Amino acid sequence: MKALVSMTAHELHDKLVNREVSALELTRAQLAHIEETEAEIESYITVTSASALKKAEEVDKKIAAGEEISPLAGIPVAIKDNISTKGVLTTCASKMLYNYVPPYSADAYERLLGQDAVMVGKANMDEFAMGSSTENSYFKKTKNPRNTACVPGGSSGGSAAAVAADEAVFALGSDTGGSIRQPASFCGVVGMKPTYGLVSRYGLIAFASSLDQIGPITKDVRDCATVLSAICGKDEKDSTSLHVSTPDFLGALTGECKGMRVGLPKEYLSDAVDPAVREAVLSAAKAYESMGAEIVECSLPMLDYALETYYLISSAEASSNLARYDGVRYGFRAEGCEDLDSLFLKTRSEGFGKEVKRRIMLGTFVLSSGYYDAYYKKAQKTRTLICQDFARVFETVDCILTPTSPCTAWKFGAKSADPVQMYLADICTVSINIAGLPALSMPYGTDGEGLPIGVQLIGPRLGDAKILKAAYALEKGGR
Amino acid sequence: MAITMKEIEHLAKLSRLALSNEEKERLTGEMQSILAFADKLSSLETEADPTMFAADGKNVFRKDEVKPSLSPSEILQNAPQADMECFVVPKTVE
Repeated sequence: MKALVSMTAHELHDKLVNREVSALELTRAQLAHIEETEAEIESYITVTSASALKKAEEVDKKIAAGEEISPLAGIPVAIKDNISTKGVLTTCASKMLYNYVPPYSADAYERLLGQDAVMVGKANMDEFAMGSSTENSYFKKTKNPRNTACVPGGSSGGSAAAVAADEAVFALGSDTGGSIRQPASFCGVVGMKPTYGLVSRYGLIAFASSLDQIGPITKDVRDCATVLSAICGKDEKDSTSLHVSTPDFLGALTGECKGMRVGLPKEYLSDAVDPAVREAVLSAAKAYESMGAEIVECSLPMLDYALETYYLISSAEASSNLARYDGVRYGFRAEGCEDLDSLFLKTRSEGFGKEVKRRIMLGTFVLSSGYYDAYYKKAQKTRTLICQDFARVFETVDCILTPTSPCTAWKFGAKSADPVQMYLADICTVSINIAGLPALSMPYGTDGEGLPIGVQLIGPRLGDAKILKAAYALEKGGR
Repeated sequence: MAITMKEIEHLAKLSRLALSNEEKERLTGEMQSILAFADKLSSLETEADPTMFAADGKNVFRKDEVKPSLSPSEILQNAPQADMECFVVPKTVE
């Protein structure tokens, strides 16, 4: 029999409703599994056993009283450690926030609590979400559950590893340039970055505000649709959150994709992509064709400028957002400072890690007088061209199929020496954030070493239901 | 473009970062290679308008209503040092 912790949220929901298992039993099983697994995988910065058990008891009371429970009630969830959780340590995997306990919760987390989901812990990540391997965490190195010699991807590496190792049934991550989709791809799970503004960013500790978005990491596409339905919606506390009625994501999961037009952009299948990854994408395209979808070859030439645009814009925004860490109001404060200037300098120099300092310096550079027009403003103009590139292709297709990452999970340390090498790994994901589009990564086969390959489905703005529909069809019928 | 140690020191000052000599040297090289990588954008000729946000560009107003907010004690609970209802910092005036 399949172990409880390896089941999906929808399978567990049925078991809870049919009273085959109680929420307390499920949470206990989940915590026991975390206890067994954590020494090897290290997905979590904090495990919240006591509050999880208390929440599970509340859910059981509702079930006993005959109340109808939500699809996520009693389901164990991991929350990335840059998403504020009231009363629970939220570190951003940084020494700068090693002791920070937020006095309020992120909107997305509040919505999960409202659905009675059971948080079991706060997941590891790259410091301030800057990185593609989770090696930049101040606290620990999370291992890839599919091969522990390899990185789990990043920056939501703890969230993706937790779901892949059955240390949580689902997780929330955040995605600024691929930080949900790439680790989901490396760990063989489903991860989705929704349309910019669909999920409130209130309480998400800011990295690059015009790119950041919270999204689900799950074991299958149905759970992804369920979690997205739960966390999306207008929030007055985030002025960029969109005023749209929640689409019927679950209703889009028909298993059909007949007549859908799936774009296959040639730039995403260049020689820079591993042959095994390219083959997986082409075989997914064949599967779509055999299910009655139409494959449309297309071109997104601005991909060539996407990484440069991304690193300039995201670092500029980060250097501004991270100016708030000064050792005065919260978090780390350096010892022995005699004046305010040395307090700022010492606190920031001791509190931030290498990659964070690098991006603050780069962002400060591109925003400084004399370089602003040549770098920052140029990147914003290029951003317009990237948006137009996608808009043109979406005139003729419903969604776009690409690799999530040009390669599968790499070994620890393999890309740490040269920051540019690490940045290049984000080539397939960053332009989606630049254009504010929705995109989903789902596992599709493995490479020669048995490591998972992820394929990415990109949708037009607010086309989240479309890509869930296409992903579900591929998951059901595309093998 | 080439980036000098002097520029790194200036950027560090603007960023409120105190860097060791070893960090300065490493960052000079790294920034150099990151900017060489980013220089590709300068070859792109475009008159496109800049995009700040890939979403609707209209301002969002809210009603000016009084609503409950965090209490001073909640605000101060994370302060490295606090006294009464104030954050404590090193002396700033003589």
